Amino acid sequence: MTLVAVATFLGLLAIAAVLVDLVALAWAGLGGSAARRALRTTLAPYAVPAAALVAVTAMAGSLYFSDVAHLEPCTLCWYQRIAMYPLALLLVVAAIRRDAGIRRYVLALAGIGAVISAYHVAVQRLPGLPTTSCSLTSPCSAIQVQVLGFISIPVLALAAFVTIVVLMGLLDAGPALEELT
Amino acid sequence: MTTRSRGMPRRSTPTPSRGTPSRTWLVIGGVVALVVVAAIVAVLLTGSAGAAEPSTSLTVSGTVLPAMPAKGANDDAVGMQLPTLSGTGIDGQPLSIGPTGSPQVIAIVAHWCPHCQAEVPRLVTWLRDNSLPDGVSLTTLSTSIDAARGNFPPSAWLDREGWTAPVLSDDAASDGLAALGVSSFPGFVFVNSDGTVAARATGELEPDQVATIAGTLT
Repeated sequence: MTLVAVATFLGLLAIAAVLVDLVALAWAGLGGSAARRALRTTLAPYAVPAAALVAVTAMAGSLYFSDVAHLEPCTLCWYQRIAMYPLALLLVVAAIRRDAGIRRYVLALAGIGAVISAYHVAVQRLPGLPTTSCSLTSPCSAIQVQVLGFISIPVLALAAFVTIVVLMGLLDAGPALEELT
Repeated sequence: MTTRSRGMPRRSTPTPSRGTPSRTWLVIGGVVALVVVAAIVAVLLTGSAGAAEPSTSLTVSGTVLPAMPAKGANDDAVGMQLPTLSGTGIDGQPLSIGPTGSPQVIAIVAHWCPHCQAEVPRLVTWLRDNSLPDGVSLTTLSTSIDAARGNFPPSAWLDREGWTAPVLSDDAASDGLAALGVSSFPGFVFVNSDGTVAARATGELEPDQVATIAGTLT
């Protein structure tokens, strides 16, 4: 598959993930407490494995872009990697151990990652935010890949982070540390 | 699963119960189906990609201009003879950028660059009601062409924006850009009628600024 084909494939997965997010949020928001409870009961067992799958796919995609397609990651790309790569590892371990207590840690990492991704999307879409020109040396404003008219690499990352946050929302809040001592 | 902590009563951890086997297989099947469908659609959507851009045969003759200096430093390219870039225009016809015997402004744009996407319509709008100083022509180098990046192909973008100046397509290695000593865009090379470089600039410029510098060309 070419770079464009791989990016399109990941873009379609991102669209599907965001649609699922929106349906889940609408269900939870409009359906009342009974609907929320039903949603959690039905999907909670799959939340951590699904989040692990999303994080591993995002990590594999970013490694493909940098190490196979040889796109140089910019500074903001690296910040998003710092958030995503530990998520991939932690969520896989949590999925294997069936440890839903990972929720708070995942929310912290994914939340920070989502904010950085959103800022990166703004930098790409709002010329002049940090610079007035595009350089060949991979500035954050450069859109290195764009498919389906609007999906760039930070858009993919944003979709992944948001999906992970939504999936963690399906889990019950675990006991805080002070409650255990 | 439970947790015990220093004499406190057992407390339930938030580990969710396992999904039923049939539901689990349904979820796994759904994910696999989604991945397969996405892969098929991606291949179908991108199978016909492959435009005539970038140029496959760009030649550079003459001395390559040195890289642009840091902001504020003297530009060693000023006074040097402009090299000639020969290749194919976005219309598929042979086209060259080089000394023409009259002053000229060379605009350097990349289709995926948001600053170029802002600069081009601004210049188009300005040129509708104004013009460059008498005898100054405007030519364009479309560079850093990459089908994987947004707003591809550049010919469609420039056509959509109403860009009427001739456009030379750079090659895949951006040799034309390198020959002009420029590494960021939008960029401008201002050339005197004797073919010597009068000035170079990168970053977004207001059309008035372009016209002002063009007015100094001899």
